[in-house]
Parts: sequence; C-alpha cells; structure tokens
Amino acid sequence: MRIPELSHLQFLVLAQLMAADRTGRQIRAGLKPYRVRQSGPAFYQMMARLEKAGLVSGWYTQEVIEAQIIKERNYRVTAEGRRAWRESLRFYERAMQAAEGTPEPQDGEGDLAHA
Amino acid sequence: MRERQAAPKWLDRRIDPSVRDEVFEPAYHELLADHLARQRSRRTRAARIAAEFLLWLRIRVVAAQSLRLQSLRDGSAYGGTGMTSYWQEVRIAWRGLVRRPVFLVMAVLTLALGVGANAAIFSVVNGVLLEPLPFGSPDALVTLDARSTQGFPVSVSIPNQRDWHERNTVFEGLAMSSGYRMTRQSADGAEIVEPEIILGPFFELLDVAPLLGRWIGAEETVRGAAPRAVLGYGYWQSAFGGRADVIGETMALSGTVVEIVGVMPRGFGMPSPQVALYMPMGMIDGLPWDDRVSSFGARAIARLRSGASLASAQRDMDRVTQQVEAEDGRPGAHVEVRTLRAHFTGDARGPLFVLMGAVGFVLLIVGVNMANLLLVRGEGRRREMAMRLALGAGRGAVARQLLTESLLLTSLGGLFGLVMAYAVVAGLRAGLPLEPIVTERVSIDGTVLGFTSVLVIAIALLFGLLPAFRVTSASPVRELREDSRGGESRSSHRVRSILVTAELALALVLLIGAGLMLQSLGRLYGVETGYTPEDVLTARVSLPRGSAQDREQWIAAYEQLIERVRAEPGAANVAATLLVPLAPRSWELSVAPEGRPYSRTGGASVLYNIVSLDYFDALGVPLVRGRWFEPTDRNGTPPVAIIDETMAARLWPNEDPLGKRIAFEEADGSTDASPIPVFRTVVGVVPNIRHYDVRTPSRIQVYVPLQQTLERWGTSLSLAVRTTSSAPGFAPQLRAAVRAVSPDIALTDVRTLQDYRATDLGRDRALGVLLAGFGGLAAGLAAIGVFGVMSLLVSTRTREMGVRLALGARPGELLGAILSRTLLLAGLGILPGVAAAAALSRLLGVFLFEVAPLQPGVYGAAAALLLAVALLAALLPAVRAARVDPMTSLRQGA
Repeated sequence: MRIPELSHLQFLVLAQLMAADRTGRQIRAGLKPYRVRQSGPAFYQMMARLEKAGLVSGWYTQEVIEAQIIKERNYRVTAEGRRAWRESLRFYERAMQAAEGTPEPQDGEGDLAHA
Repeated sequence: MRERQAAPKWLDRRIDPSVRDEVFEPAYHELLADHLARQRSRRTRAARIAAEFLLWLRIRVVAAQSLRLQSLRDGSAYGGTGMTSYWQEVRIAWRGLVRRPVFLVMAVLTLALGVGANAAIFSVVNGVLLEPLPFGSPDALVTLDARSTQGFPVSVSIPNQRDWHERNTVFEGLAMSSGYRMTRQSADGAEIVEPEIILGPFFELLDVAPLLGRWIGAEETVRGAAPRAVLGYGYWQSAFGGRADVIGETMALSGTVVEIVGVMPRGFGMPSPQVALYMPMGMIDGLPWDDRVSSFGARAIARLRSGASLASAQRDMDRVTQQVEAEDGRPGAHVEVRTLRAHFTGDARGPLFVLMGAVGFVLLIVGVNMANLLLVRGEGRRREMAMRLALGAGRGAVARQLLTESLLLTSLGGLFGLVMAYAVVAGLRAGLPLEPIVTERVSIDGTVLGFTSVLVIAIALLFGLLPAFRVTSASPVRELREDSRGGESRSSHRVRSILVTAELALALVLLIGAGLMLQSLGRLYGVETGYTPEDVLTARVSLPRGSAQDREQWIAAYEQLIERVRAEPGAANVAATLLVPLAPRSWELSVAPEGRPYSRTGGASVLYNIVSLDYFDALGVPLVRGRWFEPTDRNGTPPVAIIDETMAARLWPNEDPLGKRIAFEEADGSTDASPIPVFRTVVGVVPNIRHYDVRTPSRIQVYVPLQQTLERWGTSLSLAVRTTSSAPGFAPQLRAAVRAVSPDIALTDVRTLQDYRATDLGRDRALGVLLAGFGGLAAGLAAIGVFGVMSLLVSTRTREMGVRLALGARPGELLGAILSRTLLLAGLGILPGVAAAAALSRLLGVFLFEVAPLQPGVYGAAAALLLAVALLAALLPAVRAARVDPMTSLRQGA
C-alpha cells in the first residue's frame, strides 16, 4: 500500500474541484467547515504548487466592480489531478477498512465535498 | 468612469514577480473583491472609510505574508529562517552580486589592487624583518663592525679577531670571514671562484648541519691549515651536478689542490647563499696575520652567551678595545655590536615602514571606496530591508546577510589580490636593493596568506558594517517618507560625501609623499658626481697566477690589455684603474703634506687610486688645474700625483697646490717604527668624484700613474672603456679582446658605470617608484569615488535639473554647479590632506636628498593634480546634468 502523494489539505482542495471549477475564494470557503485556517498567501502558494505539479490548472477572470478591475483566480482539476485524488481516496478507504476489518471496495469516484 | 489599476504600486517593486503572480496577486484580488462585495451594504461614510482602512491593513498583512513565503522559499535572511545554512546565504549573496556585474567588477578590482599591494609589500616586510635567518638560533648571532679612529667603517683584521675572541666574556665564540678570489682551471678555460675564507668557529656559530660530509672546524682554520673546502649548495649543483660522491674529491684553485670535505644545504649562506665554497683562512699565503691595521674586507660574527644582551656585549667589547689600545699604545678600531639581522637588513627597515604605511593608506582608500560602493548598493535595497524589518525580521539576520555579501566580495578581491601580489613579488625580488640572503625569504608564504586573510576579514567587517548599520538602523517611517520624495536620502549623500572627502585627503598624502621622493630622486640623478657615467663599460681583470712576478711585468700586462682593447672598433678611450666609482672596492692610505710629520695611521685618510693615462678621458673627468699624467711619468722619473679639489682645499687652503709634495706611500724597507715616506709632486687637480655613494662627497682623493705605482702593485685592476655607441653592447667585444691576449685572464663584474649608479640609487629609486605607483593608484581610486558620488547626485536629481532647465537655467550653470560641488569636496579633502602630509612627511625626511619635507612646490603640485583628477572624474556626470532634457526628466519623475 503506497503512501499517497497528496497531503490532507490538497486532497480536500482537489475533492472540491472534482465537482466543478471554482475560484480561489470559493475553495477557501469550502475548506472552512474542515477548520482549515490558512492565510490567503499560504493558500495561493499551495495552489501554485498544485498548478506547478500539473494537478490543477489556473486562470484569471476579470470583472469591474465600482470602477475597480477585479481579477479572480479560477481553478480546474486536471486528469493527473483526478488520478492522484483517486489514488489518495483508495488509500484512505483501505486504511479505514483495515482498521474496521471490512473487505476492500471496488474502484470508484467519491465526492468528499458533499459527504 | 476610468477604471483604476488594482495592484498597489508600493508592492510592485518589492516582491519577486513570480511570487506576486502566484501568491500575492490572487490573495490580494480576493481581498479586494471581498471588500467591494461588502462595501455596497455599508450605509454610512464612516463605515466605508473604516472598511477601506481595514482593507489597507489587510493588504499590508497579505504582503507581509507573501514576502515571508518568498523568503522561506529562497532561504534568504529574512529573519527567523533557522534552517538557512551559511552556504545558502553565500549562494544568495553570490546571486545578488552577479546580478550587478559592473558593481562586482569594480569592487573586486578595487579590492584586488588594495589587497595585492598590501600582500606584496607585507611579503617583503615578512622576508626582511620577520622570517628567521637560515641559521641555528639566529637571534643570538651578532656581527662586530669595526670603525677606524677617524670614524670610517673598516674591515676586521686577523689580530682584531684574535684579541676579541680571547678577551671577551659575552660570546660563545667569535669567527671572521672574508670574500676571496681564486681561479679554477677547467676544460672551459679559467673560471673565477669566490670562496669565503673563514677563521675561528665559523660553522659552529652558525650551527647548520651539512647536507653531505662535514664542516671545517675552528682548529682547521688556523695559520698553515690544510687546503679543504665545504661547497655551497648552488656551486655543488652547478659545478658538480649535485653528485653525492663529491666528498673526498679534489680541485685545483689558483694552483693549490683543495680537498672537498662537505656540502652545505640549500638556503644556507654567509654572507650570501651565493657563496660558492668555504675554505680555511689559514691556507692562504701572504695574509697580514700580525698587523692590527691591515685588513682585507673581513667581517666578524659571534654568538651571544645565554643571558648576554646586545648592550652588555657592546660594553664588554668597549672594555676589550680599551685594553688593547692601552697595551698597543695607539688607537685601535672601535667595535659596534649589531644583530646579524640588522646587519643584513641594514637601512631597509625605514623604507619598508614607509612603504607599509603607503600601502596601508591605499588600503584605507580601497576600504572607503568599498563602503561607498556598498552604500550605493544598499540604497537600492534599503527600503526593502526597512520593510522587512518593519514586518518583523531580525536586525541581526539582515545585517548578517549584508556582511556575508561584503565578506564574499572582499574574499574575491583578496583572491585576485594574491594573484597580483604573486606577480608583483617576483618583480620586487629583482628590483629591491636587498641582500640575497634576505631576498630569498621574500615570497607569498603561510604568514603572508594569514596576513591577507586577516586583512580581508577586517575590510569586510569594517567597511561592510557601515552600510549594514545604516540599512538596519533605518526607521521604516522615514524610509517611506524619503521613498515618496524619491531618490537618495540626504543623510546618505552626506555620508558618501564625507567618505569621498576622506579618500581625497588620503590620496593627497600619498601623492605628496611620492612627489617629495621623486623630486629627491631627480636631485640624486642630477648630482654632480665628478665624472660622466654614460657610455662607460668596466670590468675587473684577474691576471693568471704567476704571470706578473714583478712590477714591470704587472704594468706591461695591463698596458698590453689596454692596447688590445683600444684596437676594437667602438672603443674611444680605454684605461686601467684600481677603483671604479660606486663599485664596492676602496683603498685608503694616510696622507701627509711635506713639512708635517708622516705616520702610517695618523693624518688624513685619502682614497688612493692607480690609473693609466687615459683614465680621466675614459671617465670624462675634467681637469681643473695643472696637467694630466704623461707617458714620461714612469719609474725612474720624479713621482707625481693628481689630487682632487677637496684635498687641495684641505691641505693648502688659499694656496696653489701645484708643485706641492705629499707622502702616503712608503719606500721598500719601511717598518712600523721607522717609515720611509715617498714624496709625490702634485701636477694636476680634478673635481671630487663620488666614490662611495652618490649622496655624500667622497674622502679626499689622490691618483697615481699606473707606470709609477709603488703601493698595491700586483693587485687586480679594472678596465674602463668609453664606447662610441652602447656601452653594454660592447661587453662581448671586450671579452673577445681580453681572451685574444690570454685565455687565462678572467673578467668579472662586467658592468657599466650607469649600472653602478643605478645600484647605488636602488633604494631611493625603489621607494620613489613604488610611492609614485601607490600615489597614482590612490588618485585613481579617489577619482572613482568622486565619479560615483557625482553620478549618483546627477541621476537622483535629474528631475530637479529638468525643472531648473524648464525655468530658464542654462546648461552651463548646471555644469558649473556640479563642478563647483566637486571643487568644494576636493577643497575639503585637500586641507586635512595637506595637514596630514605635513605631519607624516617628517618621517620621510631621512630618505630625502636636498628636498625639505615641507617643500611648498610639491604640496602645491600634488594638490593641483588631485584637483584636476577630481574635476576630470566629475566632468562626465556634469556634462550629463547639462544635457538633461527637461521634458523627458519631468515625465520620468512623474
């Protein structure tokens, strides 16, 4: 059983993106219920690392609010990101089964964001 | 409504672009969007203003967090980066340095010049004053220098050595040695070998084990000693190919079969490592064993007993001298006890300290320049550093990073400096007038490397600390205020101006020192030496042993040589002479005019020279009165002499010396008790020739014709040839001509008179040339400093210049303003510079010849030169200021 390449936090982020593309602000809001307290720069640094690793792709969208140009960073999970996320999920499930003594499930997608 | 650009300007320049895009910008926009989304719901103006203030605070926090993340990623010294290793800091410092290549090259070059000059001069100081001499316990070795009753240095006689050795109570032993010349016949013809002949416990005192075989012990050196030799390392290598089986072999030296008993190791040598071999004095025939006043160039060495000091040794030798004088009934030689090191280093100590001081000044200027460069560099990063400090980075961490940079820079400079020093030391070894035994110890060794390392660290700490202190002690509030005004802060400019002023003052001190030394050197070269040294080649001739059995044969041999050399094309005048001006050989006799009592030791000491007819023409000596020697002045005719003006004035003030008679030689059958003086008639008067050195007039001089020689016949003479073209180029012809007369005649010391003069002025020339070099270097470095300050002044005030031009100022006025500011800086530097030079030039006074340490001309010229250099350095920035385009500068500044 290989240890997954994703950290818990990255796993949570990718889980949100498995459902739909989201902006940075939305992802951070989605992390709140898990009591993740991370500063903006630290969060975006993590996202930059995920981008660099090819697990997510990011782009800016732009709108004008009260004569101010507002850009927002949007993120989408890549195929590589999906694979990494599934691998991590399998690891957690097996770990849980090992702890509870139940047989291993079939491969499949889960959505922790809605769990 | 116009859309506003969101990203705040003050952060743009401070955060690395990649971090800004990846980390700061999305976070910042998120903050902004959030703020705007809520702003609509805020009803009151107060709530909106409060929210905006909160937003501003949040942006600050986000920026701080971004910077912190960046520093964590880079590992840079941003405080609290405990995992940062020192090597990472060095890597970061290096990255920062190569980003500004012009700064890097300038700083490293400046440092290399300063460190190189210091390392080179220190290697000489180390070799001359610090490295131990190549003998066992060298600090206890002393020399005993004798002075005549008239106070002139004289060599030690054999009875002197005996007296001192037997009667002293302070030395473990006392030996004497002297240079000697012998001819070694080999398949290639005659070779002149110069052994050191020794008497007493010579090797025992020096205490160095032989490489092969054994020493010659004290008991083997006494009168009638067996002919044995210990080879010097160099001669063993060159003449015997370094063969180990050389011990027990024999060689023929001037007709004597000499057995080789030992070989000394490399580096050993007394008085020089170039001594070919050491032989017992007792094997040489005809030495004055029992005559206290007859000496032949020997020197005495001794080893102090434990507990004896130089002062107690001096007292003891004074006591011995008095004892001998009382027994002898006439004044004897006075003895001066000096350490062996002092004997070898002679008067090198003073000039070396002057040079060390000079390179110290150069180093100070380099340091100031470095501080200046680092300050400029610090300017660009000061606000960044201030912000980091405001965000909680430790001052220590920031200072450490700056010091690492400064240390890296100085280390690079030190490395290049050492390479430069290595090249310079080779030149110094060849060019400095030092004893060979001392020159051998001048090199870039561990001590010099250690000294250089200390120097490098000291510069890095001393001059790197100032910018580090300025940067880390800056108040963030003030920094931001100054930032808003743009350009360099006023206080920083003041510091840089003070530094440049100090640089100019230091450079002026060196320039004045160099000026004084060069003027002194000019005076020395202009000294009326009494002869014309240009185009004269000289060579010492050694006739084969047994070829001149009597005076007539001896005279005929030299006349034949003169005739043969004169036949060579290019030889204008050829003469034989006992003494060559400034060559290390002299012969003195006691002189008495007719009518006053004659004694061998009393009376005035006269420099005695044997010359052939053409001597005065060959050396270009003018006749003041009377006549030259003539072919009729031969044996059998009344003895004649030519004297110099000083002697004429001394012996017969206000009288005509021509026709007067003097005695300084003795007829055959003379004894100490009843000398039979020979009177010579003065037939001519010539100017005083500077024989010992260029600086001081020689003793009174007398010349006797070769054909009428009474004293000293049989000695080897020198040939002096005045050539019609290059004198050094005549050397092969001279050798060929002499070989044509007899292949057994050996020629040594083939040198021009100018060469002898160059050797004599070696110390002054070296000091003058090196000081001039350091002065030039200092002026150049100061010019760089002025250029830097003025360039920065112009570039930071471009907008102001633009405004002035727009308001009607003429370009010439701006040019004038920059130049007058430079003049002010230079003027402020010149005042303390002149004062310091006036104080320090007194130390230089002892080396100056006919030049006062406070020569106003030199001070004026040096100040004018420095002023010109400073103005020249400021000219480029000034012209740039005058060419500012008002429109462009105003737009840039907007």
